[in-house]
Amino acid sequence: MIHMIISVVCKEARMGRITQYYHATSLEDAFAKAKQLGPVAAYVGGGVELVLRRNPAITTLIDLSRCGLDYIAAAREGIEIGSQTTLTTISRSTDIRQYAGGSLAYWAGRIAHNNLRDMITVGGAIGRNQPWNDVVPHLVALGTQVRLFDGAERIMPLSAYIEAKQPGVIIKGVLLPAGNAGSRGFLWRFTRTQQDISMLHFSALVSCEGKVMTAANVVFAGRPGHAAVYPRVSEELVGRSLSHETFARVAEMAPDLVEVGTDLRATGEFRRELVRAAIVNLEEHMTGMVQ
Amino acid sequence: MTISITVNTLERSFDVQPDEILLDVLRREGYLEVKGGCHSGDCGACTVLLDGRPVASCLTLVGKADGHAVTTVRGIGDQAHPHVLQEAFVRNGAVQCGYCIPGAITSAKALLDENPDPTEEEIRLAMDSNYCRCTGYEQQVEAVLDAAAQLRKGSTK
Amino acid sequence: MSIEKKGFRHLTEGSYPATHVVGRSVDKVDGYALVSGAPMYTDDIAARDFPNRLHGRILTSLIANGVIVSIDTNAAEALPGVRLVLTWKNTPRTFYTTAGQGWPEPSPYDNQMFTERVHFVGDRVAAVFADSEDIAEQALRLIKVSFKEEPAVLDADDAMKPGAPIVHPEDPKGVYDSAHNVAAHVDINVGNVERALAESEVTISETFQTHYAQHTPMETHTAFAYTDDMGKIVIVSSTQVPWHARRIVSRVLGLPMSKLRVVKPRIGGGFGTKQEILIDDLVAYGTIKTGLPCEIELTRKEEFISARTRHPMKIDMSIGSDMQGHFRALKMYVLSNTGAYGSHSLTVMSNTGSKTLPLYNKATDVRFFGDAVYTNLPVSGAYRGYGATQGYVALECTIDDLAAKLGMDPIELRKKNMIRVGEGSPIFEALGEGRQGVAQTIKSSSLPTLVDLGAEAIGWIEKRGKRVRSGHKVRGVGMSMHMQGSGIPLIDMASASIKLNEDGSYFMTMGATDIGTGSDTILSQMAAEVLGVTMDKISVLSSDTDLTPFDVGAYASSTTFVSGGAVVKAAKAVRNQVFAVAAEILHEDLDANLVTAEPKVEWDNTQADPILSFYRMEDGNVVSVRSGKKVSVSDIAYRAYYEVNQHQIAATQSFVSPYSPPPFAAHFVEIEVDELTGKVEVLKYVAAVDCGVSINPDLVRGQIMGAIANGIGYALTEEYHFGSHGNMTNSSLFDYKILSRRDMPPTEVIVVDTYEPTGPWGAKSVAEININGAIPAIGNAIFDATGIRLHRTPYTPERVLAALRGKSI
Repeated sequence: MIHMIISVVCKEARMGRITQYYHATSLEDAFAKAKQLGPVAAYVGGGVELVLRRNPAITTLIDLSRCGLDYIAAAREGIEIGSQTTLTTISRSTDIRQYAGGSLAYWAGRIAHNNLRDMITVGGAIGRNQPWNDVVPHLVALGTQVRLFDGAERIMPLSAYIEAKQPGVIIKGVLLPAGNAGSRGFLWRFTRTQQDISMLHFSALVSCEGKVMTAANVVFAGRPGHAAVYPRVSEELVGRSLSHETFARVAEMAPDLVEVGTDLRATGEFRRELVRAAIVNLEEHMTGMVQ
Repeated sequence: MTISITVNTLERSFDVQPDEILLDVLRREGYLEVKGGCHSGDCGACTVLLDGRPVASCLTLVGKADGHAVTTVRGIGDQAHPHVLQEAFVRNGAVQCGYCIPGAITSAKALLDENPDPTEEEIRLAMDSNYCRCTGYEQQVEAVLDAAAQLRKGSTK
Repeated sequence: MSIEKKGFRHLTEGSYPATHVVGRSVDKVDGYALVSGAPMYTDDIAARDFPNRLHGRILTSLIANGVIVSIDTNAAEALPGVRLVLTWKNTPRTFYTTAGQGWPEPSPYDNQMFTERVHFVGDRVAAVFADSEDIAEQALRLIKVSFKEEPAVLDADDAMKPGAPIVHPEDPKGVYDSAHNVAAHVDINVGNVERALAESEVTISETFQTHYAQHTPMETHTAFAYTDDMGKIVIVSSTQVPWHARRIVSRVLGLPMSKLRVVKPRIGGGFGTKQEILIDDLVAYGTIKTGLPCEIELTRKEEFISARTRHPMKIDMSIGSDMQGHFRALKMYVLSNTGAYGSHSLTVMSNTGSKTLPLYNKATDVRFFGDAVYTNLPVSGAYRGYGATQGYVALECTIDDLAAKLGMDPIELRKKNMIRVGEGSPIFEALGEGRQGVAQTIKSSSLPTLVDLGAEAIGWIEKRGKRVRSGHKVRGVGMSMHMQGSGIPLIDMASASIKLNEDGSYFMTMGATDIGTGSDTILSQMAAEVLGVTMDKISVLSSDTDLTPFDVGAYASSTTFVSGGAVVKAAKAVRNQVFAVAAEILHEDLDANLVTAEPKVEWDNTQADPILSFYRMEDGNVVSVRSGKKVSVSDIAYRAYYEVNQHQIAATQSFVSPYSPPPFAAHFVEIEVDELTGKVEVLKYVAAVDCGVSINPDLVRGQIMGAIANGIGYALTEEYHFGSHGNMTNSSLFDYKILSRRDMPPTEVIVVDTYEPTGPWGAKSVAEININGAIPAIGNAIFDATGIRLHRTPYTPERVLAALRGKSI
């Protein structure tokens, strides 16, 4: 799975004949430089997608790795993850391993493959948001907030940000909200081999009180479209019990609610089956019983 | 632009274009032990350590390595002084055509540096970038287990 | 004797000569070099030794079929840094086959360096050599081509239909029937199969379709050429076939062989795709025209699209038997898709029958026939298994379905009909590779043991038919049985030269082509065994058309058996010369005929080499059997080179065999099918293998494991996807999925050595056979788990799920 690290300066920022490689010293410095140069500049985090998909319009790269954005910090509001933090770092963090059952830490250590997990940054993954991205949909399900910088700092839900990306801003980091720490994160993805992108990605965050589900965020991705939230599916889970009947009903209706399509890797019809399988797997995870 | 990278503990200065990738620069500068199999980050043959962490050198902009340390498989060991890992690969029949080997050993080294007693699953996960079409992987896993055991016993590097 | 290592059991049947280095898992001779990344591959040597070389890039066709109406290279040629642009207008027009096969090649001469036609998406249109890859790439974009696109044949089923577009209207030499797009045709009859089928109590007929797959060696095709100081063109190439490359390039370019040298350095895998002369002609011609070294390295995308693939085949299989399961009739029809060029078209198709049907030699009436057809699609060629892989899909799956029809256990059905020691099959003689075959009798086989041990290891009796269920997942077991060959009898020839150094060490040169398989190592082991020395006393150089003697190259599982035979003969000849000098020194008589007699490859257990009654080698000394006295080999060398009766102690020997003793294998899998997604997970894989004597057990195990990994990928995840105009749409490792390190199932390899009397040290071969097992064993396991028979491969989740849902596949 290839992730994109960055460029939000220009809509499809890629890279071609570069004449300048600039190491920014801070967020402010990076932002000022980008503003000065305009659409010929692109930010670099890990740089993976910049190399894979070169854009001749880009002549300057602004490297963010010296801006102090590689951090994981537990705070009262939740866990802050800097945008230059790699998947490997995330997978090893004790705090993140304890968050929402540890699903983010577990999967950050298993998606893509080992020499990419040390290059893919959370900021880059969000900035590029390739449709087969496995990081963004899971973060969305966890209720992640994204911290942005465009001269001043602001915060917004990641789910909203990926619907309406803002050219010119730098992603400073993300916040895993403290309120979701006690819920259960779940990720199910269907791949061709174990070293692969997802043909369908399913992420969920479920809160329970006893045997009743009190909250559920449901996200599908790799459909082959981008991560999208499905409140309609969540509705069918919230307030219901952790019973086979609940999940069987959702498994039945979910394929009609999730937009899937055909691409090189799978047909839409098959993806509908995968949607159903995703819900069954959620049931097995939540009830601990094989179906 | 001129950049400086510490390659295999030697500080080096290179004249490069800003959009060059580390793989091409390393090979041009004589580090032919770093192999290229796909130039798209899919096969793992080009794996090197960047500050001790495995990266795909075919996807690494050379500017990202500026001021950092790069280790190639020759920095791990060479014919005159092979590392325990390299000996284990030879001894366990883990080497056939050898093209995936520099990258595979590099990934394995990064693993053993942090986890001196890995399970088989951990080994496969820590080396999952490294495709091999010759060996079926099994003897390479055994080689890493063997090397890990040797290192824990205190075998000299 | 048995050695146990986790997942690996090594057993033997029969008695063997005691050996000191053959049969040991010695380190590969190039092991330490490879683990330090030594610059031994083609591009490494080019980068190190020829930094001023030109870089070549190839312009390929974007249409599947048509004519190049005009091609204008002026702008490309004018680009600074461009040194040469090649098209059909300025290159030799010789027709040839790219297939690296023995002469006269049994493949059609349907290729030219460049033509005025393009035959598939990916076909050559032009080539550029420039100072850098970037410039060459830019120059490609400046070449102005206009095509007249013509309707294309994009399905093998359409190729022979009346009115189908003709892929090769120029009717090249060696094509069976150009007007109907038939590159090759075969029809072999033993007895009367139609009558036998009609008279059979039970018959079964099924059709299977296999798919396009690629070898994906970790190193793509790479070659460079330069002019040496004496004006010779030297090609350094990632090739499996240096002599075929030299011969073919010489002919294509009109360059005398004396002016051409081909060197194979270390290569990063071949698996058959490098049994082809794909870019050697271009780099050689570039060097001739520019005077500068020229290199081409195919990109990974080009490796998928423009290199070689596995022949997709549609196979109609019929079996007739009695109610007790005794086979009477076997009928196999193959429709093989050879793509746009016919390299290996006849021989791969022949192998589909010749390496499969004799396995069940109890069938009295057999017909094997087929057509290899042209399509405007990627070109198929040699790929490990070489047609047998596809043949076993049809044969082994049909046998299981017949077993179900008869209510018999599939293993019992096979045991009733399988070939055994002492038996032959009329197919061996009737069907060779391109020519008539050679009669064979099985002299070694542990197949019955392989089947029993494999069945036990997988838990056949406990699991077969049980359909153990865990929620929406259900399990099954399946098996398949295989033979292959060891070289092409009476065609493949190998040779080796050995000479003695004064310190008692030896230098060996052989044509044998080590493509990563470790042939340099095992051939050194064989020589060391004959010469009574340790491995450090043998150094080797292989695969250089000037410096080493001839070898056909690495294919047909020939290196251990045929090249090994040459090495054993050469080693014996040198050993005998050493004995002769020892006799002189000791003033003992030694019959000159014993010294100069043609050495035998076969090492008869009961009748040792006559000369060994007089002398033997021991730890660097010659020991006289008669007197017990010892002379050091080093002393012998010093005497022979400097002192008395001076002469070079050396020998060159060749070997060609009328035998091609088959290795055998039985593969067993346990799988779990997820009924929600169609995903097939292999829970356990067992391969039981008879390769004759394992010269190096670790390397044997490595060959088996690598072949299994490739086989499972071919069965479950690897396939070419095509767009609407014959264009491959998944030409990268991102979307052409081979097995990763995390995908290998727990695998148990059981090797049961047998002693093959016609082979060097009793060896046969192991290189290809184990890629044949995965599809049929997994297909049969899916049938066990679900009752559903899949007729199309690969068994992707989508395909399996559709079958489970009752849609026809």
